[in-house]
Amino acid sequence: MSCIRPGLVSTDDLVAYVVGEAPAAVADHVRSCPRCSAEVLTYARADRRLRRAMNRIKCPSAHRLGEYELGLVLGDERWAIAGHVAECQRCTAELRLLRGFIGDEPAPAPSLADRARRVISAILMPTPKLALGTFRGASAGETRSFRAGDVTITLGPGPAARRRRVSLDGLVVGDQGDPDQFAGREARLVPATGTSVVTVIDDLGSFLVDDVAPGVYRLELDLADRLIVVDDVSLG
Amino acid sequence: MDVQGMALAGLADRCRQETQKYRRREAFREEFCYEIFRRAICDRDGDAWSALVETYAGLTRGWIIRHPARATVREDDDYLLNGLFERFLRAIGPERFVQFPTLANLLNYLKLCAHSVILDEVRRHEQTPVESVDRLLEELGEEPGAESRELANVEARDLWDKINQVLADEAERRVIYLRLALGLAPREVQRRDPTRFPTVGDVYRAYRNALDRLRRAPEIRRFVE
Repeated sequence: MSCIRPGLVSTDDLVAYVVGEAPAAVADHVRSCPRCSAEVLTYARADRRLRRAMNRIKCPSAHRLGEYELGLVLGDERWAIAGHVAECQRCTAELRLLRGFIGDEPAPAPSLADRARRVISAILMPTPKLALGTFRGASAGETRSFRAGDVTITLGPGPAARRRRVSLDGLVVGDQGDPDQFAGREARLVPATGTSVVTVIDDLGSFLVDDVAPGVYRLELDLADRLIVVDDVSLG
Repeated sequence: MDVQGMALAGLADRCRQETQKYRRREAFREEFCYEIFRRAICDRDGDAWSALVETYAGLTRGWIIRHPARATVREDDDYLLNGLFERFLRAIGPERFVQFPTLANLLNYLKLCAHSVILDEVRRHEQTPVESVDRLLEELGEEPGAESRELANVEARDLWDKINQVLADEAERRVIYLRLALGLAPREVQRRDPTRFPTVGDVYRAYRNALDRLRRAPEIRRFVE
Protein backbone atom coordinates (compact mmCIF):
# COMPACT_ATOMS: atom_id res chain seq x y z
CA MET A 1 0.00 0.00 0.00
CA SER A 2 1.40 3.39 -0.92
CA CYS A 3 0.29 6.98 -0.41
CA ILE A 4 -2.42 8.10 -2.85
CA ARG A 5 -0.62 11.41 -3.40
CA PRO A 6 3.09 10.83 -2.77
CA GLY A 7 4.98 13.92 -1.73
CA LEU A 8 1.93 15.87 -0.62
CA VAL A 9 2.58 15.39 3.09
CA SER A 10 5.75 14.47 4.95
CA THR A 11 6.13 12.14 7.92
CA ASP A 12 6.62 15.24 10.06
CA ASP A 13 3.22 16.48 8.84
CA LEU A 14 1.71 13.22 10.04
CA VAL A 15 3.19 13.76 13.49
CA ALA A 16 1.78 17.31 13.44
CA TYR A 17 -1.60 15.76 12.63
CA VAL A 18 -1.33 13.31 15.54
CA VAL A 19 -0.74 16.15 17.99
CA GLY A 20 -3.55 18.24 16.50
CA GLU A 21 -1.39 20.93 14.96
CA ALA A 22 -1.55 20.06 11.24
CA PRO A 23 -3.18 22.36 8.65
CA ALA A 24 -6.52 21.36 7.14
CA ALA A 25 -4.91 20.13 3.92
CA VAL A 26 -2.94 17.49 5.83
CA ALA A 27 -6.04 16.41 7.74
CA ASP A 28 -8.03 16.07 4.49
CA HIS A 29 -5.31 13.98 2.95
CA VAL A 30 -4.95 11.66 5.95
CA ARG A 31 -8.68 10.96 5.99
CA SER A 32 -8.65 9.92 2.35
CA CYS A 33 -5.31 8.05 2.23
CA PRO A 34 -5.23 4.52 3.77
CA ARG A 35 -1.45 4.48 3.84
CA CYS A 36 -1.06 7.81 5.68
CA SER A 37 -4.01 6.97 7.90
CA ALA A 38 -2.24 3.77 8.96
CA GLU A 39 0.96 5.72 9.66
CA VAL A 40 -0.95 8.21 11.77
CA LEU A 41 -2.54 5.37 13.71
CA THR A 42 0.91 3.97 14.56
CA TYR A 43 2.26 7.32 15.76
CA ALA A 44 -0.94 8.13 17.65
CA ARG A 45 -0.82 4.82 19.53
CA ALA A 46 2.81 5.35 20.47
CA ASP A 47 2.15 8.94 21.54
CA ARG A 48 -0.84 8.02 23.68
CA ARG A 49 0.70 4.97 25.33
CA LEU A 50 3.98 6.60 26.11
CA ARG A 51 2.36 9.76 27.45
CA ARG A 52 0.11 7.71 29.72
CA ALA A 53 3.04 5.63 30.95
CA MET A 54 5.51 8.49 31.38
CA ASN A 55 3.14 11.16 32.62
CA ARG A 56 4.90 13.16 35.39
CA ILE A 57 7.68 10.57 35.56
CA LYS A 58 10.20 13.26 36.59
CA CYS A 59 7.92 15.18 38.96
CA PRO A 60 8.88 15.00 42.63
CA SER A 61 6.17 13.51 44.83
CA ALA A 62 3.62 15.96 46.21
CA HIS A 63 5.16 15.47 49.64
CA ARG A 64 8.74 16.09 48.51
CA LEU A 65 7.57 19.16 46.59
CA GLY A 66 6.01 20.38 49.83
CA GLU A 67 9.22 19.72 51.76
CA TYR A 68 11.03 21.75 49.11
CA GLU A 69 8.57 24.60 49.67
CA LEU A 70 9.13 24.45 53.43
CA GLY A 71 12.90 24.68 52.91
CA LEU A 72 13.57 21.11 54.02
CA VAL A 73 15.26 20.02 50.78
CA LEU A 74 18.83 21.17 50.39
CA GLY A 75 21.82 20.87 48.10
CA ASP A 76 21.70 19.47 44.59
CA GLU A 77 18.21 18.06 45.04
CA ARG A 78 16.92 21.52 45.83
CA TRP A 79 18.42 22.82 42.60
CA ALA A 80 17.03 19.87 40.67
CA ILE A 81 13.52 20.50 41.98
CA ALA A 82 13.82 24.25 41.35
CA GLY A 83 14.85 23.54 37.76
CA HIS A 84 11.99 21.10 37.32
CA VAL A 85 9.38 23.41 38.79
CA ALA A 86 10.54 26.22 36.53
CA GLU A 87 9.49 24.02 33.57
CA CYS A 88 6.58 22.00 34.93
CA GLN A 89 3.20 23.72 34.93
CA ARG A 90 1.59 21.02 37.04
CA CYS A 91 4.17 21.17 39.82
CA THR A 92 3.94 24.97 39.70
CA ALA A 93 0.18 24.68 40.12
CA GLU A 94 0.61 22.26 43.04
CA LEU A 95 3.04 24.64 44.74
CA ARG A 96 0.56 27.47 44.29
CA LEU A 97 -2.13 25.29 45.82
CA LEU A 98 0.10 24.45 48.78
CA ARG A 99 0.96 28.10 49.38
CA GLY A 100 -2.71 28.97 49.41
CA PHE A 101 -3.42 26.11 51.79
CA ILE A 102 -0.69 27.14 54.21
CA GLY A 103 -1.80 30.74 53.65
CA ASP A 104 -2.86 31.34 57.23
CA GLU A 105 0.74 30.70 58.27
CA PRO A 106 3.36 33.46 57.79
CA ALA A 107 3.93 34.09 54.10
CA PRO A 108 6.80 31.97 52.79
CA ALA A 109 9.79 33.68 51.28
CA PRO A 110 10.11 33.48 47.50
CA SER A 111 11.34 30.00 46.70
CA LEU A 112 14.20 29.08 44.43
CA ALA A 113 11.68 28.10 41.77
CA ASP A 114 10.38 31.65 41.67
CA ARG A 115 13.86 32.98 41.17
CA ALA A 116 15.58 30.36 39.05
CA ARG A 117 15.67 30.92 35.34
CA ARG A 118 17.94 28.15 34.23
CA VAL A 119 19.96 28.62 31.09
CA ILE A 120 20.66 25.13 29.89
CA SER A 121 22.70 24.94 26.71
CA ALA A 122 21.04 28.14 25.58
CA ILE A 123 24.07 29.10 23.57
CA LEU A 124 23.26 31.89 21.15
CA MET A 125 26.43 31.92 19.08
CA PRO A 126 30.16 32.42 19.27
CA THR A 127 30.61 36.16 19.70
CA PRO A 128 33.28 37.60 17.43
CA LYS A 129 32.99 41.10 18.83
CA LEU A 130 30.97 42.46 21.70
CA ALA A 131 28.70 45.44 21.34
CA LEU A 132 30.06 47.02 24.48
CA GLY A 133 33.76 47.61 24.80
CA THR A 134 33.98 46.47 28.39
CA PHE A 135 34.89 42.85 27.99
CA ARG A 136 38.27 42.03 29.34
CA GLY A 137 39.97 40.18 26.61
CA ALA A 138 38.81 36.91 25.09
CA SER A 139 39.70 36.64 21.46
CA ALA A 140 37.22 36.08 18.64
CA GLY A 141 35.72 32.61 18.51
CA GLU A 142 36.55 31.82 22.12
CA THR A 143 33.51 33.43 23.71
CA ARG A 144 30.02 32.06 24.10
CA SER A 145 26.80 33.97 24.60
CA PHE A 146 23.85 32.72 26.62
CA ARG A 147 20.38 34.09 26.94
CA ALA A 148 18.11 34.12 30.00
CA GLY A 149 14.94 36.13 29.50
CA ASP A 150 16.02 39.70 28.77
CA VAL A 151 19.63 39.14 29.82
CA THR A 152 22.57 38.13 27.65
CA ILE A 153 25.59 36.59 29.32
CA THR A 154 28.85 36.37 27.44
CA LEU A 155 31.65 34.19 28.74
CA GLY A 156 35.22 33.82 27.62
CA PRO A 157 38.69 33.09 28.90
CA GLY A 158 40.15 35.73 31.16
CA PRO A 159 43.74 36.97 31.38
CA ALA A 160 46.54 34.42 31.37
CA ALA A 161 46.65 32.58 34.68
CA ARG A 162 49.32 30.62 36.52
CA ARG A 163 50.32 27.26 35.13
CA ARG A 164 47.51 24.69 35.41
CA ARG A 165 45.09 27.45 36.45
CA VAL A 166 42.50 29.26 34.36
CA SER A 167 40.28 32.31 34.59
CA LEU A 168 36.83 33.23 33.31
CA ASP A 169 35.76 36.60 32.05
CA GLY A 170 32.06 37.47 31.87
CA LEU A 171 29.78 40.24 30.73
CA VAL A 172 26.12 40.58 31.73
CA VAL A 173 23.97 42.86 29.59
CA GLY A 174 20.26 43.54 29.98
CA ASP A 175 18.06 44.42 27.03
CA GLN A 176 17.39 47.78 28.67
CA GLY A 177 21.03 48.59 28.06
CA ASP A 178 21.63 50.10 31.49
CA PRO A 179 25.26 49.03 32.12
CA ASP A 180 25.21 49.34 35.91
CA GLN A 181 21.87 47.59 36.60
CA PHE A 182 23.75 44.50 37.79
CA ALA A 183 26.53 46.32 39.63
CA GLY A 184 27.39 44.75 42.97
CA ARG A 185 25.50 41.52 42.32
CA GLU A 186 27.32 38.23 42.91
CA ALA A 187 28.62 35.84 40.27
CA ARG A 188 29.49 32.38 41.61
CA LEU A 189 31.44 29.65 39.91
CA VAL A 190 30.32 26.37 41.48
CA PRO A 191 32.43 23.23 41.00
CA ALA A 192 30.99 19.70 41.06
CA THR A 193 32.72 19.27 44.41
CA GLY A 194 34.50 21.73 46.61
CA THR A 195 34.12 25.39 47.31
CA SER A 196 32.48 27.97 45.06
CA VAL A 197 34.43 30.99 43.89
CA VAL A 198 32.52 34.24 44.32
CA THR A 199 33.08 37.53 42.58
CA VAL A 200 31.11 40.72 42.06
CA ILE A 201 29.73 42.20 38.86
CA ASP A 202 31.15 45.68 38.29
CA ASP A 203 29.33 48.82 37.16
CA LEU A 204 29.94 47.96 33.50
CA GLY A 205 28.37 44.51 33.84
CA SER A 206 31.73 42.69 33.79
CA PHE A 207 33.07 40.11 36.18
CA LEU A 208 36.25 38.08 36.43
CA VAL A 209 36.77 34.77 38.16
CA ASP A 210 40.49 34.40 38.44
CA ASP A 211 42.90 31.59 39.19
CA VAL A 212 40.69 28.49 39.33
CA ALA A 213 41.40 24.88 38.46
CA PRO A 214 40.39 23.61 35.01
CA GLY A 215 37.10 21.70 35.04
CA VAL A 216 33.37 21.89 34.49
CA TYR A 217 31.48 24.41 36.61
CA ARG A 218 28.03 25.85 37.10
CA LEU A 219 27.86 29.62 36.88
CA GLU A 220 25.25 31.38 39.03
CA LEU A 221 24.42 35.05 38.63
CA ASP A 222 22.52 36.27 41.67
CA LEU A 223 20.58 39.20 40.20
CA ALA A 224 18.06 41.25 42.15
CA ASP A 225 14.94 39.54 40.79
CA ARG A 226 16.23 36.16 39.73
CA LEU A 227 19.03 33.68 39.89
CA ILE A 228 20.44 32.86 36.47
CA VAL A 229 22.20 29.54 36.15
CA VAL A 230 24.49 28.51 33.31
CA ASP A 231 25.28 24.82 33.52
CA ASP A 232 28.33 23.02 32.19
CA VAL A 233 30.77 25.90 31.87
CA SER A 234 33.94 24.13 30.80
CA LEU A 235 37.20 25.85 31.68
CA GLY A 236 40.63 24.85 30.50
CA MET B 1 9.21 24.61 83.88
CA ASP B 2 10.81 21.21 83.33
CA VAL B 3 8.45 19.77 80.73
CA GLN B 4 10.63 16.69 80.25
CA GLY B 5 9.85 15.70 83.83
CA MET B 6 6.08 16.18 83.51
CA ALA B 7 3.65 13.27 83.37
CA LEU B 8 2.03 12.78 79.99
CA ALA B 9 -1.51 13.44 81.28
CA GLY B 10 -0.49 16.84 82.62
CA LEU B 11 1.37 17.67 79.45
CA ALA B 12 -1.61 16.70 77.32
CA ASP B 13 -3.92 18.92 79.40
CA ARG B 14 -1.66 21.93 79.08
CA CYS B 15 -1.12 21.21 75.39
CA ARG B 16 -4.87 21.18 74.74
CA GLN B 17 -5.31 24.48 76.58
CA GLU B 18 -2.47 26.11 74.69
CA THR B 19 -3.75 24.72 71.39
CA GLN B 20 -7.10 26.41 72.00
CA LYS B 21 -5.23 29.68 72.44
CA TYR B 22 -3.26 29.02 69.27
CA ARG B 23 -6.46 28.44 67.32
CA ARG B 24 -7.92 31.67 68.71
CA ARG B 25 -4.68 33.37 67.63
CA GLU B 26 -3.91 34.34 71.20
CA ALA B 27 -0.47 34.25 72.78
CA PHE B 28 0.30 30.66 73.69
CA ARG B 29 3.07 28.53 75.19
CA GLU B 30 4.35 25.86 72.91
CA GLU B 31 6.65 23.80 75.14
CA PHE B 32 3.94 21.37 76.33
CA CYS B 33 2.81 20.35 72.86
CA TYR B 34 6.37 20.36 71.59
CA GLU B 35 7.38 17.95 74.35
CA ILE B 36 4.57 15.56 73.33
CA PHE B 37 5.82 15.68 69.75
CA ARG B 38 9.36 15.05 70.99
CA ARG B 39 8.37 12.02 73.05
CA ALA B 40 6.24 10.60 70.24
CA ILE B 41 8.94 11.02 67.62
CA CYS B 42 12.30 10.83 69.39
CA ASP B 43 11.36 8.40 72.16
CA ARG B 44 8.87 6.46 70.01
CA ASP B 45 6.49 6.72 72.93
CA GLY B 46 3.15 5.19 71.86
CA ASP B 47 1.15 6.93 74.59
CA ALA B 48 2.60 10.30 73.58
CA TRP B 49 1.68 9.51 70.00
CA SER B 50 -1.91 8.73 70.99
CA ALA B 51 -2.11 11.99 72.95
CA LEU B 52 -0.74 13.87 69.96
CA VAL B 53 -3.29 12.35 67.58
CA GLU B 54 -6.12 13.05 70.02
CA THR B 55 -5.03 16.64 70.55
CA TYR B 56 -4.69 17.45 66.87
CA ALA B 57 -7.49 15.30 65.39
CA GLY B 58 -9.90 18.23 65.25
CA LEU B 59 -7.40 20.67 63.80
CA THR B 60 -6.17 18.24 61.15
CA ARG B 61 -9.70 17.15 60.21
CA GLY B 62 -10.48 20.80 59.57
CA TRP B 63 -7.42 21.05 57.31
CA ILE B 64 -8.58 18.00 55.35
CA ILE B 65 -12.12 19.32 54.95
CA ARG B 66 -11.01 22.79 53.90
CA HIS B 67 -8.25 21.74 51.48
CA PRO B 68 -8.97 23.30 48.05
CA ALA B 69 -8.62 19.91 46.29
CA ARG B 70 -10.73 17.97 48.83
CA ALA B 71 -13.83 17.94 46.63
CA THR B 72 -11.97 16.14 43.83
CA VAL B 73 -10.96 13.22 46.08
CA ARG B 74 -13.40 10.39 46.76
CA GLU B 75 -11.77 8.88 49.85
CA ASP B 76 -13.47 9.67 53.17
CA ASP B 77 -12.08 12.03 55.79
CA ASP B 78 -11.03 9.25 58.21
CA TYR B 79 -8.99 7.52 55.54
CA LEU B 80 -7.19 10.77 54.70
CA LEU B 81 -6.72 11.60 58.38
CA ASN B 82 -5.10 8.23 59.06
CA GLY B 83 -2.88 8.71 56.03
CA LEU B 84 -1.86 12.14 57.28
CA PHE B 85 -0.69 10.90 60.70
CA GLU B 86 0.98 7.80 59.27
CA ARG B 87 2.87 9.95 56.82
CA PHE B 88 3.93 12.40 59.49
CA LEU B 89 5.27 9.66 61.75
CA ARG B 90 7.07 7.92 58.89
CA ALA B 91 8.57 11.13 57.50
CA ILE B 92 9.94 12.62 60.73
CA GLY B 93 12.17 10.22 62.58
CA PRO B 94 14.36 11.09 65.56
CA GLU B 95 17.20 11.98 63.20
CA ARG B 96 15.13 14.67 61.47
CA PHE B 97 13.56 16.14 64.57
CA VAL B 98 16.28 18.81 64.84
CA GLN B 99 14.93 20.30 61.61
CA PHE B 100 11.81 21.30 63.52
CA PRO B 101 12.92 23.55 66.37
CA THR B 102 9.51 25.10 67.04
CA LEU B 103 5.92 23.90 67.36
CA ALA B 104 5.02 26.09 64.38
CA ASN B 105 7.52 24.13 62.26
CA LEU B 106 5.95 20.83 63.35
CA LEU B 107 2.40 22.03 62.71
CA ASN B 108 3.40 23.37 59.31
CA TYR B 109 4.80 19.96 58.49
CA LEU B 110 1.65 18.26 59.75
CA LYS B 111 -0.28 20.57 57.45
CA LEU B 112 1.99 19.61 54.58
CA CYS B 113 1.11 15.96 55.28
CA ALA B 114 -2.60 16.84 55.01
CA HIS B 115 -1.88 18.49 51.66
CA SER B 116 0.29 15.71 50.25
CA VAL B 117 -2.01 12.88 51.28
CA ILE B 118 -4.82 14.59 49.34
CA LEU B 119 -2.57 15.46 46.40
CA ASP B 120 -1.45 11.84 46.13
CA GLU B 121 -5.08 10.87 45.56
CA VAL B 122 -5.51 13.72 43.08
CA ARG B 123 -2.47 12.52 41.15
CA ARG B 124 -3.61 8.89 41.28
CA HIS B 125 -6.86 9.77 39.56
CA GLU B 126 -5.38 12.42 37.30
CA GLN B 127 -6.04 11.70 33.63
CA THR B 128 -3.26 12.22 31.15
CA PRO B 129 -4.58 14.87 28.77
CA VAL B 130 -4.66 12.68 25.65
CA GLU B 131 -8.28 13.35 24.65
CA SER B 132 -7.42 14.74 21.22
CA VAL B 133 -5.37 11.64 20.39
CA ASP B 134 -8.16 9.45 21.78
CA ARG B 135 -10.61 11.13 19.43
CA LEU B 136 -8.22 10.71 16.53
CA LEU B 137 -7.75 7.01 17.25
CA GLU B 138 -11.50 6.58 17.50
CA GLU B 139 -11.91 8.28 14.12
CA LEU B 140 -9.40 5.82 12.74
CA GLY B 141 -11.39 2.89 14.06
CA GLU B 142 -9.55 2.04 17.30
CA GLU B 143 -11.44 1.20 20.49
CA PRO B 144 -10.98 4.12 22.90
CA GLY B 145 -8.46 3.32 25.61
CA ALA B 146 -8.54 -0.40 24.81
CA GLU B 147 -4.83 -1.01 25.19
CA SER B 148 -3.87 1.37 27.93
CA ARG B 149 -2.64 0.04 31.22
CA GLU B 150 -1.10 1.61 34.25
CA LEU B 151 2.56 1.02 34.95
CA ALA B 152 3.84 0.51 38.45
CA ASN B 153 6.21 3.23 39.59
CA VAL B 154 9.30 1.05 39.35
CA GLU B 155 8.27 -0.27 35.95
CA ALA B 156 7.72 3.27 34.67
CA ARG B 157 11.13 4.42 35.89
CA ASP B 158 12.73 1.40 34.29
CA LEU B 159 11.00 2.21 31.01
CA TRP B 160 12.08 5.84 31.28
CA ASP B 161 15.72 4.78 31.68
CA LYS B 162 15.45 2.48 28.68
CA ILE B 163 13.89 5.22 26.57
CA ASN B 164 16.73 7.57 27.37
CA GLN B 165 19.32 4.94 26.50
CA VAL B 166 17.73 4.38 23.11
CA LEU B 167 17.39 8.03 22.07
CA ALA B 168 20.10 9.36 19.80
CA ASP B 169 20.83 12.87 21.03
CA GLU B 170 19.88 15.70 23.36
CA ALA B 171 17.23 17.06 20.96
CA GLU B 172 15.36 13.75 21.08
CA ARG B 173 15.74 13.47 24.86
CA ARG B 174 14.51 17.02 25.30
CA VAL B 175 11.43 16.62 23.13
CA ILE B 176 10.58 13.28 24.72
CA TYR B 177 10.90 14.77 28.21
CA LEU B 178 8.80 17.83 27.40
CA ARG B 179 6.16 15.87 25.49
CA LEU B 180 5.87 12.67 27.53
CA ALA B 181 6.80 13.71 31.06
CA LEU B 182 5.47 17.28 31.06
CA GLY B 183 2.70 16.75 28.49
CA LEU B 184 3.56 19.79 26.35
CA ALA B 185 2.31 20.28 22.80
CA PRO B 186 5.06 20.64 20.16
CA ARG B 187 4.35 24.36 19.71
CA GLU B 188 4.94 24.85 23.41
CA VAL B 189 8.11 22.72 23.21
CA GLN B 190 9.41 25.04 20.47
CA ARG B 191 8.50 28.12 22.50
CA ARG B 192 10.34 26.74 25.55
CA ASP B 193 13.50 25.79 23.66
CA PRO B 194 13.88 27.97 20.54
CA THR B 195 17.65 27.54 20.49
CA ARG B 196 17.43 23.78 20.07
CA PHE B 197 14.22 23.92 17.99
CA PRO B 198 14.20 27.07 15.81
CA THR B 199 10.88 26.03 14.20
CA VAL B 200 8.01 23.80 15.27
CA GLY B 201 8.95 21.61 12.30
CA ASP B 202 12.20 20.82 14.10
CA VAL B 203 10.14 19.60 17.05
CA TYR B 204 7.97 17.36 14.84
CA ARG B 205 11.12 15.94 13.23
CA ALA B 206 12.86 15.24 16.53
CA TYR B 207 9.69 13.70 17.99
CA ARG B 208 9.08 11.55 14.92
CA ASN B 209 12.70 10.35 14.92
CA ALA B 210 12.42 9.55 18.62
CA LEU B 211 9.16 7.62 18.20
CA ASP B 212 10.60 5.67 15.26
CA ARG B 213 13.64 4.80 17.34
CA LEU B 214 11.50 3.67 20.28
CA ARG B 215 9.30 1.55 18.01
CA ARG B 216 12.39 -0.21 16.70
CA ALA B 217 13.86 -0.91 20.15
CA PRO B 218 12.91 -4.46 21.21
CA GLU B 219 12.79 -3.61 24.92
CA ILE B 220 10.38 -0.71 24.32
CA ARG B 221 8.33 -1.88 21.36
CA ARG B 222 5.79 -3.75 23.48
CA PHE B 223 4.83 -0.49 25.20
CA VAL B 224 4.21 1.42 22.01
CA GLU B 225 2.59 -1.09 19.65
